Amino acid sequence: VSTDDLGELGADLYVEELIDHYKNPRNAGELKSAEVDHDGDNPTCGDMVHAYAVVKDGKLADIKFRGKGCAISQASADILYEDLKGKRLDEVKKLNIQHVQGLLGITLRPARVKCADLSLVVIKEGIKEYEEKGKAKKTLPGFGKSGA
Amino acid sequence: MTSSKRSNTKPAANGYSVDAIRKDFPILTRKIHGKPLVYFDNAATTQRPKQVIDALSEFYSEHNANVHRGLHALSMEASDLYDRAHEKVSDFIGADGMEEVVFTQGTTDSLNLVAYAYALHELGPGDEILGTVMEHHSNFVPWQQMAKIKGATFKQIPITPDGHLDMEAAKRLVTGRTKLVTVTAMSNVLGTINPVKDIGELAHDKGALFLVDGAQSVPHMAVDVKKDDIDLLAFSGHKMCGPTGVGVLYGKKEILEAMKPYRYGGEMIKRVTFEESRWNDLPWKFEAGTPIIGPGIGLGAAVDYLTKIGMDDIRAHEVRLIRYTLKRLAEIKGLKVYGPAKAEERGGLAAFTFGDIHAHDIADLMDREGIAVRAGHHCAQPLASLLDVMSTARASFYLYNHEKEVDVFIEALHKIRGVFERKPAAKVNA
Repeated sequence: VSTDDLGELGADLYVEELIDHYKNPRNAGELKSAEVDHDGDNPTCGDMVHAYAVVKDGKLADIKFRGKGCAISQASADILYEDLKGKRLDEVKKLNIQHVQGLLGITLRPARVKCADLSLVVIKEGIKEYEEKGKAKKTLPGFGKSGA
Repeated sequence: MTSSKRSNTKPAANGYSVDAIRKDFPILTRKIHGKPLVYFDNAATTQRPKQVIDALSEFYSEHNANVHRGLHALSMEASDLYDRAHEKVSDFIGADGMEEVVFTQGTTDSLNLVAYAYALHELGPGDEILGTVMEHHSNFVPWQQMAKIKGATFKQIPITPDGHLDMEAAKRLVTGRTKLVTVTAMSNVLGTINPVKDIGELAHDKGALFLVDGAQSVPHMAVDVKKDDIDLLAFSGHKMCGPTGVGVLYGKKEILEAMKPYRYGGEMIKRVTFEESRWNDLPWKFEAGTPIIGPGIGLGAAVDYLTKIGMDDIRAHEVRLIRYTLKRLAEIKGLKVYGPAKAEERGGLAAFTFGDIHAHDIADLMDREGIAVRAGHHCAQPLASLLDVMSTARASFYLYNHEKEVDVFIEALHKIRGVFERKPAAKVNA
């Protein structure tokens, strides 16, 4: 991406719809007894997203989030989680940053990709945590054995 | 120089041209005491090609900034270059991406990282660490000391008279109590290339972690961490045409994830509260503080350079050189070379003693001929004591060394013998 000509200040990134999702998130909130309950950080901007999702029949029946951070991270979370409602878990696990970029309809510079990706990373980690609950952990060589 | 006629100056069949490679290394045109430099101290540190020097200069001239938390253009460029250097190293050793590649200060730092991030937390009384008697101090002292701290036992695989690891003994020494098995892939004294894959299998069969010291192997031969099923691999940038101050710890992702951080501070965290901290993603969890940005990018350029020449071709060149060297050294009476006799079983280095001439005298006299060799215990005192020789001289090669230089070195050995055969002039009595 050429950074030499960005045009009118912020016109490429801070589009009106995104600012609206940042100021008035539709999916803000918490879900009690959510199967998926997971949070994560992006240390670049200090962004934080905590995702709550109800899982029914292998699908994300409902999803909400609490978050703090830059406009890109919070608007992305709101737009992505709207999109993820009703999607199958195995479908969500296959999504990557291109999906978020597609939803946002903007081109992100490398340093901002992590902001936009945070909410997807968090929900994917949360799903993994949910699916691995109760499963025996793989033993690693040299770890966990007690001395003879 | 009459002996140059012995040399085969033709390029090898694969097109490997030492003369062309030498043009990439500015320092090789230096004169030492008026004589052409013969640089045979590559096991200590190698020289750098202009491609690496230029990469460092270009970074500091055009892209310098701190990485990873910058939103300005220079920081993004520096971050991209630094991340890409990790990716290049990952490709070079067959790892699964930059999450498995931690930049450290060098092999010693990488091995200490394993000592403090793994052994300090996972070892206990009754546990055993198994190394070998041919380890460099950097892969010996951390385990000796960590064993003392944790009440564990540090044992070593012995060697056979021809300088190979005693694999029968190794099979007996790996037991259910063994938690960590560590071995150098290539001895910096004997030159022995160890059967890394076989030792890894012994370790894994008993549920032990397998750590390889690749300081001498990674620069000189193709290494594939997945093929050899290596859990952790340590090596240095400056022994493979890269800058000093940067090295690598490769680790399988699941193992690096299970290890605790080694050093704490900035860059390695995700979230910090007054009570708790959450660690950053791999590999940054192990790269606390402002990382080794410039040298790391230089290491990426070194990897590009070596890849372009071809690691298999470099290895083949060094086998030709050491074979020729062993043949020429065998012609010298009273000279003893340590390690395996076959060129294919060893790296491109020869440590030797020369009658009763001390190694330090050899190295000093060699220097007067423009030849850089190392003398001493080569940071492997336990091995030196086993061989019952506290000091050897060592000539070690790299991709730019020439058979003609071996001839200069052999000629110097003859001259050195001459020096020690001098007798005081008979006094003339009137």
